[in-house]
Amino acid sequence: MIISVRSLSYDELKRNLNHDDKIVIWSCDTCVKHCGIAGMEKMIALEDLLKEDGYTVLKKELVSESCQVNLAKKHKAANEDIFNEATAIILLTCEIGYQCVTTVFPRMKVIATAKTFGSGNFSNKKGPILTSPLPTTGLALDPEGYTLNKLVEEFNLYPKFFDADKVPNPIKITITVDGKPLEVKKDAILLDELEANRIKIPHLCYVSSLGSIGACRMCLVKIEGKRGLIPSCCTQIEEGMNVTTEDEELNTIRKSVLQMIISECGEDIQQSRDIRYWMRRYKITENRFKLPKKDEFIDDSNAVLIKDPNRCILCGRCVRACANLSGQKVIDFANRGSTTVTVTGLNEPFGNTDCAHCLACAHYCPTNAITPKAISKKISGYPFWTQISYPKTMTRSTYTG
Amino acid sequence: MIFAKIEAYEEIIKKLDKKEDKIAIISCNTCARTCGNGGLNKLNELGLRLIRDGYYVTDEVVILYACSEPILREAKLDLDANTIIVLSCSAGWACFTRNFADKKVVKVTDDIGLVLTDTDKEIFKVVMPYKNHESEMGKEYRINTGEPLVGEKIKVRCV
Repeated sequence: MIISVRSLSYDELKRNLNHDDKIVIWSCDTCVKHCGIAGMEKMIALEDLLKEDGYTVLKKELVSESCQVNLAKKHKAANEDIFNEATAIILLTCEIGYQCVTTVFPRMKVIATAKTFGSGNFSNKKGPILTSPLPTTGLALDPEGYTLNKLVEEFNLYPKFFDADKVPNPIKITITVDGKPLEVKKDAILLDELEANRIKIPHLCYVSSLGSIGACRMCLVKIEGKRGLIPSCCTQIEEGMNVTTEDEELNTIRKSVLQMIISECGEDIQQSRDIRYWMRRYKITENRFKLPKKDEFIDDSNAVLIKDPNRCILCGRCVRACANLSGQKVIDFANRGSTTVTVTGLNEPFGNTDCAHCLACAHYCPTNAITPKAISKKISGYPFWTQISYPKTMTRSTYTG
Repeated sequence: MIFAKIEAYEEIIKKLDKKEDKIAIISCNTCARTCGNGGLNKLNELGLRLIRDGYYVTDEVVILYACSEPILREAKLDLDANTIIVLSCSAGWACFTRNFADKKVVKVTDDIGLVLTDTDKEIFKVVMPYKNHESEMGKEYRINTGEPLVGEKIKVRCV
């Protein structure tokens, strides 16, 4: 991974901006995110800071890999109106990302916020470390690595994301959840706020950086005054809401949805971490609906990824990740109703598509239906390739609701 | 992404002991594969050549990132080898050096620089070169093979 550290203070950032600038915040979702200075959360924090200071933020653009010029071009094409209106782009990327974005937006004011030091590792003990510094750093190759704190001290940079302690407090309102008052952010997504307050709601299709589609129906809640059951991932918080997150009816419905998922996917289901957790929570021990096990073709034609449709629950995370984060739109749904499947390209092998190998789909898949290829072979004994490392899972679709 | 060039085969075997070394070859499937020095193809190429020349190769592994300890931990590698060849950039070599301290980890690549890519055109371009490779600045190569290209296909504004 490429190691980068924030090189710009918030005041310096503001000096690069005019008050009438229309800003797009652009972030990479790979190396620089692991260095703690990018990603959707950081973009939201920066947006809050800028908005409080009176700046106009038009859009937050999350890109799966900012060092790919073609992905940057596709993001530009997909949001042409917004980029035509924008006058400045603030980058939460490494310096390679800066070069890509300035290439794609030659006439735009592009503000880089990070300095790139070279390549390194993600260490379990130390976090990101620099092992192979670029010549401009004057540091030597060191397998033990230089920690980010050491780089921050040595090069007089910034250890955290834009003055983390200065992020303004968002406007809070009070709602009632299961009979108790709860302070939450105004206009936020209900599911996000419930989870932020440690109220566990089951969900499989929702990730805040990909947005909501309400496909899995696991996060249903009751809201006083609203008809029926409401998916909390698609609900914006309003003043005075009275929410019920657990009662007998909700638990029965969630249990049934989960049992349908399990039935389609057979016994392998217990190997998916998310699903296993909810099975324990709802005390599901057996396969209630006996359906024939899916036996679909496992596609390993892609150089980096393996796609196993038998584990797919049609949550659409891969489809949204490929369209929104990568911009390639290689994965999509085909067919309707109970025959819905995810397909790659024009229903062709994954390896024949123009997949950019950005791994966004694999990163967001909750059931390992798309996994990175990691294979091993013992030359003596078992001289054939076996997939290693990734726990097997499976499930089935609730796409049609 | 990080571009590292693999050394010539003759240089690699100078670092190996035909009698003593039981060799595992680990191949990175991200940057190194993109730049033509990792992935399954390069692993097979090097593995077959070493076996043909009488070296004792015990394990061959394709790993998603060679530079990530969480990925390495998940992979739970059970290597019979006492020597590891890592087909990756020096960050991958550093990661294996730390995590397999009881084994000889052989560095067989040289970092050229940080690159930007265009996967539609199948090109990558060196934009931040490492020491002793400053002349590589702006040079373009074919993705997957690392074959040098003539002319400039990606016009980078600020190089």
